[in-house]
Amino acid sequence: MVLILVAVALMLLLAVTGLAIDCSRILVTRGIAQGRLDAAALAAVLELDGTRQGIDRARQAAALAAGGLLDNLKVEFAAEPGSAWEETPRSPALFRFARVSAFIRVRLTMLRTIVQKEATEFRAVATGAQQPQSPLPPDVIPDQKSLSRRLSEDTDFTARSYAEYAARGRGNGRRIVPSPEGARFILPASAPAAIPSTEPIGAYLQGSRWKGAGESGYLTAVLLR
Amino acid sequence: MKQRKKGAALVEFALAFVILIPLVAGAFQYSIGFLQALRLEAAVRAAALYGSQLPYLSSTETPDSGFLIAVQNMALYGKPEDTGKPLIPTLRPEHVAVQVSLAAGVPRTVSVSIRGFTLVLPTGNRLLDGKPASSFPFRGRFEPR
Repeated sequence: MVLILVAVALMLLLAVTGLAIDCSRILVTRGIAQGRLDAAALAAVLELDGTRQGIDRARQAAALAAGGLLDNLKVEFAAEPGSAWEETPRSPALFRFARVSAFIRVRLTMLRTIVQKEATEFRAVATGAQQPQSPLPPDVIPDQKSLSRRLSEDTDFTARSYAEYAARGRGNGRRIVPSPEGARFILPASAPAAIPSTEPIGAYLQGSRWKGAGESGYLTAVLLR
Repeated sequence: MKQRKKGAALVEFALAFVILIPLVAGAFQYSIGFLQALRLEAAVRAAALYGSQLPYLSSTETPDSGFLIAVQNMALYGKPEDTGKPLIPTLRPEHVAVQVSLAAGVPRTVSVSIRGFTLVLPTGNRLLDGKPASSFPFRGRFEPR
């Protein structure tokens, strides 16, 4: 009787230990994979500039940031979070959202005999976006409210050129942006610079060599949860 | 007869004790090691993500001290200041390596990894050198001084 009890208890104990070990491995792998996907989504978003080349660059940047861990990476793009996600957008002009997903496979060790499976699989997803920002840091212009109002008055989200922007009669013809100098963003220390009339409308994407997609003003790449 | 039964129970208990105690101790140590590994993973990810959006004031791959300390504190305390309870008691700033890679003179990625930290596991101590690590593309302001 005692022998049977011990055998049953030992089997249960081993099964629970196996469950704990395999679950912990799944959790650690999930954490690592999510970190890589987050980086991939941000890397993709930083490349989006409203062109097909931008989409290609975004796909390559995502694959590079994800590393070898994720070999079945899927990169999709959207103009708005609620709209359809497309792997190859036909007209990528306003696409400023990137969603990166992958199926993560974790080999089972202790649970293999119980669940009769070699490995378990789950899908991990990360979404990044180009988000409009105030053009200057708070310490340069302390009054954020008036700055936000000024930005909303002066910003035309769909104009593709300065001429189009001016023809629509929105704003006052001048907008405050950081001055991009080559690949660098040099923030003006004192007075903000106005865009010259020849400057095409397009969003400056902080941390990127490219102008952002589909917005005007000043963008930054963020992760959406 | 009664004394014989008592003796048998004692032997069974002793045998079970010899098997169960190492099993429970191992599980306990494993769970602590696992918890530390998870915390380290989360700490480097949070620090790299935070560093990727900080203003970068250096013109080389060596970050300025303010940047370095803020990112290290993020891994150690979960915030840029070195106040409060450390997330992992034995983790020190020298264990948190921060690397910024430049491309064409501009920051491209911010990487944070754990170096020279010993993780205590039931199978023996494990020296972490370069793992866990996390990298994020730089998306902060670049303002070389």
